Amino acid sequence: MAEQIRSNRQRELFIKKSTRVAASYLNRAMALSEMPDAAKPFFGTLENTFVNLRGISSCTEDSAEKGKHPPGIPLCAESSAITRKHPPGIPLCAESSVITRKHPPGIPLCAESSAITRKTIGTLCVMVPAELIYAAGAMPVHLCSGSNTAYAIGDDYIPRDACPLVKAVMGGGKIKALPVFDQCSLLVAPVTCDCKKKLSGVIGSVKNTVPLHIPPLKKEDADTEVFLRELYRLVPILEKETGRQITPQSLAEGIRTVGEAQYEMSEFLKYRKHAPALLHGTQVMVIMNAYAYMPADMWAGQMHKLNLELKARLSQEYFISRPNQPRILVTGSPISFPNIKIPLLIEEMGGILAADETCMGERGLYDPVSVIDTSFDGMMRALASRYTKPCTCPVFVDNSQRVYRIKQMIKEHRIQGVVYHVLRGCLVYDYEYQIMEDELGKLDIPIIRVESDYNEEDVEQLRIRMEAFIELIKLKEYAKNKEAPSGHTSMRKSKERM
Amino acid sequence: MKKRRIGTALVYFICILLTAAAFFAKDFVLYDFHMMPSDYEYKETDQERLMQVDTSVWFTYGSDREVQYGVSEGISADMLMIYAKTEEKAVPVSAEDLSPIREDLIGYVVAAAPARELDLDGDGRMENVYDFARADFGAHTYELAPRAFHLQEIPFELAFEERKVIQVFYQGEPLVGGQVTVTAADGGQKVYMTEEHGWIDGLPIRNIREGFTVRYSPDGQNVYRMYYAVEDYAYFNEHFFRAQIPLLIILLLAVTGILIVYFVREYFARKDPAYAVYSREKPGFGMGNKAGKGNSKFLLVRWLFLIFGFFLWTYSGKLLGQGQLFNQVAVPTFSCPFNLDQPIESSCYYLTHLPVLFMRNWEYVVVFLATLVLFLVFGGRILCGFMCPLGFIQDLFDQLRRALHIRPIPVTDRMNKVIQPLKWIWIILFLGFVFVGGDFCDICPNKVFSTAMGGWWVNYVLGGFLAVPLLAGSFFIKRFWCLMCPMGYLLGMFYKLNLFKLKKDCTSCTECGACYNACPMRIKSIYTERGEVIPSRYPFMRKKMRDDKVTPSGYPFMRKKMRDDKVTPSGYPFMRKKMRDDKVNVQTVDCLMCGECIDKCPEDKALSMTFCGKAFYQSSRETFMSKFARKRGDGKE
Repeated sequence: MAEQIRSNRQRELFIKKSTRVAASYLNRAMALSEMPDAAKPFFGTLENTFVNLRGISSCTEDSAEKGKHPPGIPLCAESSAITRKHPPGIPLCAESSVITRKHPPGIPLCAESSAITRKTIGTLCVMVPAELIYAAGAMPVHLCSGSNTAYAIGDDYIPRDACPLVKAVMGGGKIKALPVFDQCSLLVAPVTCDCKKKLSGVIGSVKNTVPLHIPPLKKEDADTEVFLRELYRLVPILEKETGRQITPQSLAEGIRTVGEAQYEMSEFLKYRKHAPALLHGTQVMVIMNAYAYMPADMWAGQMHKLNLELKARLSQEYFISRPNQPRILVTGSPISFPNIKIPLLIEEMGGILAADETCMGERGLYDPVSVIDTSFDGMMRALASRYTKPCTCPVFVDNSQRVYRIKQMIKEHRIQGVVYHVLRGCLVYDYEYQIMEDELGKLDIPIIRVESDYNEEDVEQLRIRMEAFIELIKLKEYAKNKEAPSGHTSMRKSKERM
Repeated sequence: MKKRRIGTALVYFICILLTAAAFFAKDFVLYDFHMMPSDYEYKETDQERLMQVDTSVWFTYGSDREVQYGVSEGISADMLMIYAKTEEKAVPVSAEDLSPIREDLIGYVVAAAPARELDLDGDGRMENVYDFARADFGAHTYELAPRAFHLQEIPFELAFEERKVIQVFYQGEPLVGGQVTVTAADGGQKVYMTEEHGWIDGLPIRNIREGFTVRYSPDGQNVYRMYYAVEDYAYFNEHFFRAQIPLLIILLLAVTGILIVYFVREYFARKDPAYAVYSREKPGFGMGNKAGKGNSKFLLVRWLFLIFGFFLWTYSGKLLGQGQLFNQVAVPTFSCPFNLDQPIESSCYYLTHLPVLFMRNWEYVVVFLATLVLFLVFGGRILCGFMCPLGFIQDLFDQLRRALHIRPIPVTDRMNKVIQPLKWIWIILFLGFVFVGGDFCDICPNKVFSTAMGGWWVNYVLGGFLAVPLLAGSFFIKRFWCLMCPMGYLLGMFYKLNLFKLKKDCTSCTECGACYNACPMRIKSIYTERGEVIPSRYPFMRKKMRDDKVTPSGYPFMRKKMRDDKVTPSGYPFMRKKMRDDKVNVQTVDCLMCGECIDKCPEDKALSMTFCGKAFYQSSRETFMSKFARKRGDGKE
């Protein structure tokens, strides 16, 4: 009984703290100037998930439309099934007093919807094929959490030196206060880095978990074959969970569903590449994080609206940055909401987060499935190939392609500086910093390694370092601009001497 | 590992078996067209005298298996002496023996008109004129016995040899270096010198079919003339449909083979835990899903080219006008030259019969080699991807499999390595078999397609049997034959000189492997290539250059300053464009230039096909992604 009271109190504390942190980060990201209106629903999704503590509304756009939704209000349904699952004694949702900030107008609150909800399947990492989960009639949710409060709880279960992300996932699973976690009936955990590997074993005590073996090498056909076997093994497990069979048709439909989101994202990237920038990178990080908690078709629908708005901005030459603002790329360990302090700091200090190469950001959605053969086996092979070969996750032994990817992004997004984010204990990314530094040195692009944790104690130090880095880039640009005319004069002088 | 060893052993066993069987190829008879001379009717022609033709006796072929004889004024049919061949020797026969034809005769018939005195050249002096006419009762594309009669009574005769040449005999010996006058059906006259084998070189197949007369006068006093026509068959008559029989047999065998492979595969797959999942997809006709649907216009163009190539090498010769237009030009595609309805010939016959090539006159050899080299060097394997009729048939079978929802056999890189010996054995047989007394055409699996479809009666031996695994294989493996095609290998050897190139922009590539998965030839380097200078490939490179890996690869001797990424190309305006961009040619010997990789590539301009440096087909993210796009309103709701 005392145990019960203790855990209830812990839960209450957790909710108080985590919702406050999430709300403050959302506010800060929104406070960045000139947020597109169409981006608001993405913020709304994260708000529902992390502030209002509601479950994922997994109704599809179509079914919602049938439910006669007032137009313009994005959907976030409160399903009755989740309410029933919710442990008693815990305050639910928006009216809770923990939310101190005023609800901004324009962000819709949850609307009751009669839409049918799908089961949600938790995933970690970017190697779990969302297409398969959609084909099974469920919806994938990325559980790679950035919650500091969940991290603090997970600290009790995970060794000290493990990375905060793993701790946050464990904490989220243990606390039973985040509906996103509790809603998931199954967790598909790829065996990637050492921390995730052990996590997928440990978290089995709180969640029904399927570890998914990822081959550490990927160039040989045999390695892809190994992953293909894993996917085939995953199919009956998913089916048992959802009660729906994955048929060739439903798999093709799943590929199309995710492909639609990828299409909208590829359109979006065109606008993101524009310099001067059309929107803030931190907001993009929020949008990309929102994908983890939204059905792909709904996300694609919102993304389409955002693209239209950005298109209008581009035609009106309505930019949010000055032309000389340093364009920065963030790469390294996952940046998952609410731990978006690095992007926020970059942009608050006057930089523009022009691109990101992180797994909660672009990487998860960038590569489309290229179906070669339309048979069932062919589609599964295409999935196995897509989820290993182009993946630039450093858990793969040979990951030189990440360097090329970043070089390409530097070229396309006109990047002037790279922030290399390393979470404490994230060894695989730390390993690759050296290579990255050498390669970017050749390109004369400054790079800064930022190690951080899931807490707010280091924010001020980080702020100073970010400020200095951005100043460095500005100075460099200034020197470069000055150099050209001065070089010209010196040449003239030498000519005169002759 | 064990599987691989079994595979390797099996491949070597097949290689040895193939080589051994090749020597006894003639004993494996798939289909033997029995010439049936008895089907032919022998009667007098109802046509008027062939006015233009320079002879007094002639044979023509009627529409429905008739051999018709005609004589000019002054002689009657009774005066003709008729000779025919049995399998052993030539014998004189009477007209009654020909209608119907006597059992022992094989259908080669020569009619001799009585010697007359005529003034042919108009110089006022009479010459002794000996007129002959020759007819073949039945197909002429294969031999049951030597064609020449070698009779005392027929001192001058013509025979149709080596698929498409006329050999001239005079007094039982090939006429070497003789001056002969050929009168074609349209009345045109041309003077030829016969070759060292008695061949009249350069006589178009068109003339041979329409009928022609060869006049030869050894001394000015005696004039010998022989009229000859090779029977030509119209499409869609009985002859044409009967030519399809071996093809049907092969298709039937191939279908059986496909079923066997399918069920054996299912049987073994049952032990696979994944079987329960993928066996849900039942084979059956249907459009399938649209997940893999490409929207590339380029591939459509390629299909059109393939269809065009198929018609070009199978039917067009007859449709365009009789026979070959360019006799000597040889295009290296795998279409059977036994089908003489090709306006341009495939070079495979002379490549597999090199001694025969050098029996022809030097002009022929020069034109042949020149065109061959031209295509080899500048065209390359783009011919395989765009023009090869066998490629077309294989692609058709692949499409058939897709339509039936049967999963393919994936060719892994390991499996590809294992089947390499097969390619080498084919190359050895292709180029060298003739030197040990063999005939590659007997084991060529392609012989049946162009010939049978074109309505040609050709006998099929071992090669016909080999066509069965070819078809069954290409059903499960896209372009199965191309993986081991000897002709394709020869074409691909000079890929570095080709005008068509497949280039890769290594910075754009995300190594997603879609190109590799799409590639029917399983070229792995296309997605692993990163354009880096690999020092071990350039042992003589200066150390300084070798040290840093730089992008513009393939130019190890470029000045370091130029190779350096930091150098802006604008600083070197005269640097060749090729050096300035870091696009790498990812073609290999195997690349068919089929464009599948570019169609499946989701990255902008990562892969491009170029002609003389100009890209005409590039991968595009927009095109790739647009198949996922959903039709939406303009979002004003």
